Amino acid sequence: MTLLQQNEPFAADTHSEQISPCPICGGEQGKKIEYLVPNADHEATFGDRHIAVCADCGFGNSLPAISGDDLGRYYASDFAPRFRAQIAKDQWPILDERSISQITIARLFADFASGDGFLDLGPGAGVSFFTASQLLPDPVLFGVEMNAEMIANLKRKMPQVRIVSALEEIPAVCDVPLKIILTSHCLEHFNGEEIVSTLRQIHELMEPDAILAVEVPHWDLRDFDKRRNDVPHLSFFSVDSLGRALRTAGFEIELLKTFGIPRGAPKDYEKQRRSKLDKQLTSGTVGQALLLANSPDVMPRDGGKVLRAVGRKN
Amino acid sequence: MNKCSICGNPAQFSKAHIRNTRGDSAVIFEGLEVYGCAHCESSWVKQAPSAEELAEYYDKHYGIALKKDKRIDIPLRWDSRPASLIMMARLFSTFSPGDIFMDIGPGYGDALRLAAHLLPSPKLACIEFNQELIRFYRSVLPQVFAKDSTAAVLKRFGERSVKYVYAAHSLEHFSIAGLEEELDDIHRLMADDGAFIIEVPHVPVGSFKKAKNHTPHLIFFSRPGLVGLLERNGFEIALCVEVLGKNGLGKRYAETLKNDNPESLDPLLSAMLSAANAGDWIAARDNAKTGRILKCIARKATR
Repeated sequence: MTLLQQNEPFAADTHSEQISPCPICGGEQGKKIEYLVPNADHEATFGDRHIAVCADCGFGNSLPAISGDDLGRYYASDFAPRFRAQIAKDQWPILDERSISQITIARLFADFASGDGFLDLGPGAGVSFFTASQLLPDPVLFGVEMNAEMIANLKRKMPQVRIVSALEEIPAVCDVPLKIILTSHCLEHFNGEEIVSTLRQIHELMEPDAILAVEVPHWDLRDFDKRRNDVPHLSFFSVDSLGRALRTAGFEIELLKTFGIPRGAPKDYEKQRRSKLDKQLTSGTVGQALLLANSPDVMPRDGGKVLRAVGRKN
Repeated sequence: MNKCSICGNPAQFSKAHIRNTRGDSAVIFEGLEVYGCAHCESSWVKQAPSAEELAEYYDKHYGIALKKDKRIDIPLRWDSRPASLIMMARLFSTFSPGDIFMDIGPGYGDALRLAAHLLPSPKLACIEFNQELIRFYRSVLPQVFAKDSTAAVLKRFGERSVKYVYAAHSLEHFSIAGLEEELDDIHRLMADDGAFIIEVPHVPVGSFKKAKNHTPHLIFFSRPGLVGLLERNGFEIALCVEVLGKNGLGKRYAETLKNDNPESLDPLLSAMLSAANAGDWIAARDNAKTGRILKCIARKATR
């Protein structure tokens, strides 16, 4: 498959079959664009598909849906999660500004008491569990993960984490109130038709007043499209579509913002920004704290590359 | 039944008096009668010193003695309080290059100086009674616009001009009547999509009774009191949380977490976790019965 040229208008709708409504808002998925699979090894699972973009909420829904069995096989063995190289070298704990900022934001909204539960849906290398153990008071840790290599690593590094392979299995291992649930760069791996039902499942697991913290890539394909590789993402979120999905599943939105380096920023954007900081202020441990406060992961921006939401169960 | 001057609800009031351990410098506050609201648990001085008396106190007597303080020799320093407050504000309001950041009662100017680093190309303004401090700001931040009233800033920049209004440990120094006027000016001054960043001591009635010294504060906020006051004055609350504060439990709690770090922990990660766990930054309800500080981000209410 070929890549779309930068700034090329959306491809015209050449598909003649009936267009299904948007799984998030029920709107018209009028635009269809190519799903990009640059690596031939991924064609078997992710090839021969397109992305339907909802004109109303901006949700990008890759079609046709991929079966649970095919996805299960892919994530169990083929998927390469973040920090895989460090895990292979047995590095632990792993520096992760992202999870520090996510949990710091979540606890602004969560009434988390000692012994409450923290669940990460799709923890990958499990760095969020280490961060949670340092930022939350005596949390009981739960994870839903499918990748065998990451599960094995977690069992070695943090044996106290209760890991299962599907959300449905959480009630069997959970005997404390779940107060913070984190799903970071995970929802975009679900088929579009499964997003709301998955959020509803999460909602049912949560205690009243508990918090769901979500982070996904920000792709409003109505406005911008510089994709190079879509594998293995199946859902593409705009601000509006993530908000609608959360509300439909029963959440009250506490925060919904784009974060990270702005789209269109030069490659050395972060280096440039840090070079402008006062050297006296950025040296030593307090300086590192300022750098953390200024890291792209922490800073909300208009048009940033990631989208964060905090939803509350009423 | 009378209405509470803070939350606006009808309530019964308890009476107490201001205690002063600052000596003669704060004698204008000594023995002032304080009303405590049974509904919101905030308290306020019923008959505050006059505006002129307060202005003279903060210009001549308030305990910031720059010449005796070595901190004046440090051009810039880290302070987790303004850092955390500005980070919180950014969650709720986008600050664009050239927007105005205004600090009410900047003290040593740490928030102004950090804002210059944490925000993109901000214009800086502040309100301060102490003329020595104003000279100090101008020496380290020549671009800062410093005046002694919000009205002067309104005159200079106009209505809806300021994106972030920052008031850390300053609202509690106003009389209740003076604060209502100030909130009206701030409402006019703030951009419609701006953020009002507030930090005040958290002093519900029970904490007020235990305190040895109350000066020079004239209002003692509880969380519902602060929220009610802001809502009555045209603001809506984006976030209002109790945090641990720098003293007592907060300090020990952060230290305990640092001590729990594994020995192999990377120094940078350790610094980041410690920063995220600073008493000024974390919400308190998970590990303390009562946080010592209230942090609040308010926006203009949609009318």
